[in-house]
Amino acid sequence: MKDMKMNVKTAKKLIIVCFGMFLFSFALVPLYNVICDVTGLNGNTSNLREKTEQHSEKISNEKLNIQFISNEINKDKIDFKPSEFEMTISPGKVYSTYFLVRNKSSSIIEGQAIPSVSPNEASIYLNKIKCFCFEKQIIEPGEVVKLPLYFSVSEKLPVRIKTLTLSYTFFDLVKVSKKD
Amino acid sequence: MSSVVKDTHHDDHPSGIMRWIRTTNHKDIGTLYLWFAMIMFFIGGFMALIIRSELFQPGLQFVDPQFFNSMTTMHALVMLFGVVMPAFTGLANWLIPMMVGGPDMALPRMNNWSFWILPFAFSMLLSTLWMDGGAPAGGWTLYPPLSLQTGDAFPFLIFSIHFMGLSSIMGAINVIATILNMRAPGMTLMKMPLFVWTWLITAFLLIAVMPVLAGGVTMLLTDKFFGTSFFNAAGGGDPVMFQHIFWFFGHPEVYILILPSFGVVSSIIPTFARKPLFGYSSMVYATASIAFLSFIVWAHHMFTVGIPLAGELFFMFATMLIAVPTGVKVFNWVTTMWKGAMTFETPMLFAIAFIVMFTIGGFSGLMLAITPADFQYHDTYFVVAHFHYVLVPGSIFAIMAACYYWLPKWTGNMYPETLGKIHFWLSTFFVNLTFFPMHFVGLAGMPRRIPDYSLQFADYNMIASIGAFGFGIAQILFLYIVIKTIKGGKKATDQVWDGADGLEWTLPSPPPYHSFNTPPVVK
Repeated sequence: MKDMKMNVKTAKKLIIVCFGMFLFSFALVPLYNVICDVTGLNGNTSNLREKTEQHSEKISNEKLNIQFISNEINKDKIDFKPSEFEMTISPGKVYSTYFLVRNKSSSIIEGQAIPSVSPNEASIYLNKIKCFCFEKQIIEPGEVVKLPLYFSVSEKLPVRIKTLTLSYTFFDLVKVSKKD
Repeated sequence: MSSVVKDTHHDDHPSGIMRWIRTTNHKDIGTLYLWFAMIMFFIGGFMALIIRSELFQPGLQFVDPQFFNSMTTMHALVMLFGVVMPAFTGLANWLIPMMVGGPDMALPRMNNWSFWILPFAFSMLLSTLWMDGGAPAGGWTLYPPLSLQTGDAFPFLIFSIHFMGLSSIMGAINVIATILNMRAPGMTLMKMPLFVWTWLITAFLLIAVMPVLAGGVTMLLTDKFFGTSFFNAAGGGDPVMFQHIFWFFGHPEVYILILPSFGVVSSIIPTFARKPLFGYSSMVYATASIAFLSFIVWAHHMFTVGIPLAGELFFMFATMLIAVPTGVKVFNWVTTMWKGAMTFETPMLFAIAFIVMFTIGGFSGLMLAITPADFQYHDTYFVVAHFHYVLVPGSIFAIMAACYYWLPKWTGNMYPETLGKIHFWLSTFFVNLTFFPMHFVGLAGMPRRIPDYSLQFADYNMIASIGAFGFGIAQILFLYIVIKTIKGGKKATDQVWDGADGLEWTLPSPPPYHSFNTPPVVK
């Protein structure tokens, strides 16, 4: 029947659209990451390592506060704390501080800290020159490791922002890779 | 058109249970869908009453908090995917072939399949209530990481959502193929009844977004069982991304739940106002614009997760823009009634109540669209009040209006008018008693999805609970009326309503098992 052929043809086209939309939902994953990197959404600062070298900032007289926050995924195995919780800084100048991580367990921990900046819009102005978050940390049982951080804040930071929060979450990488 | 009528097309059909299992007839499948929705309506309603019993007084009375959260989650899943969507698909099955003058749906075997998937999907979903770790309790939006903590129920939840999606995608393909290919000669697109138009647009929305939901929940599944890290921050993923994927599906979904009701109301109002619909083509364009806008407003569900200011402004203004085509629709309905020779039979009462209360829900939606205000309203009972106003006196009232309006056509019997009116007034009174106080407790800061609340919310919660039980009991009357009408009653004429216009009213009441084997000619 001619009608039936036409119906099947329409249905086939629509099924192709469905498959396309299903694939699109997976395409959203890389798309989302690109958008976050470009805009600094979600405090995502991973793309800023290269930029920091070429910045030669003017040192401004403005003072602002930067707060440090630490989280650990596995609290009974790891202690993770900033050495100082707050600093008063001037935009354009390079500062250094360090975090302390202690392995409370009896096995070696392989972990990495992931940064996040709040408010989101400030994330592109916070330049980490050297950060422990760039690489994996291997910590022996009972060992305490000093994790250094060198950073500066661009003087282009909007003046309404007076306080920045830099938060690190320490993830246990062994646990993640073991899951599969 | 040279449609050859086969010899096998006569009024005989198998009887007993096999008639229903093997049927490919659009009227039988429509009936199955509608009964399925009715059963699920009482199951979902029962869950709502458990929620309202717990919230009758402050403190923990009847259920433990985990089970309470299961109830809010399951109530939403059952009501959205098990009641509103199947009920509209049922109406589409019954009405679209008769409205466009086609003999049946375009792909009858697939039609059978798309219905019979549903009972399996929902048995699977409801069976999780008895599993270790309880039924899903992380909210119907399934946000990770919380939803990933679901116990044994998790894979059943994901697969049942896959099946519901599959069922509605197949239903949507059938609707589109029917509307595009099976119209009677002379039935141009711009002559189609608005119910057909709204369903055509809804079907396109379904095809565009149900696969996205399927993709999102598949990612949840692989995150939980196969070590991927789509939404796991420890592995480089981002839980917020799930919210973007979910609401990219979720916002068009809420229009999937309401657009067919616009079509129902646009059929009923002209009949009882005895005037043609005002602004037919503007109705079509308004529906299409609402559908288009639904794709660019998703982030208004997640203003508080941290979006750049420019993004929040964009989503705020885009959301407010939806009020324009919706306003066009409300204006057209009111103008259709203006100076009409109106009578107030039960379908008309439900349709008018729809316009009034859907507009209330629309206004609270506009309040929620204001980004700075949303930071206060987010996840409060104000949101609960908003979406229940657009879904209960919105979608559900439209479905009931449709049942009263077309039941005489489907069964050949008139429903008892007095009982219908009693059902309407009870429903309207109790629906407002239930949901209106939720605006107040929400603005005062009562959070959603919590089994307990502070003392200052006690009075309004008690009122809401009384309303919910009243509304629930009133629906037993609806069930009684439907059964009574199917069993007998005053015989309906073919025309049924003297102001009714459309091809379905040219058929006898009840219509023959196979109608329009020879296509009618539309002038």
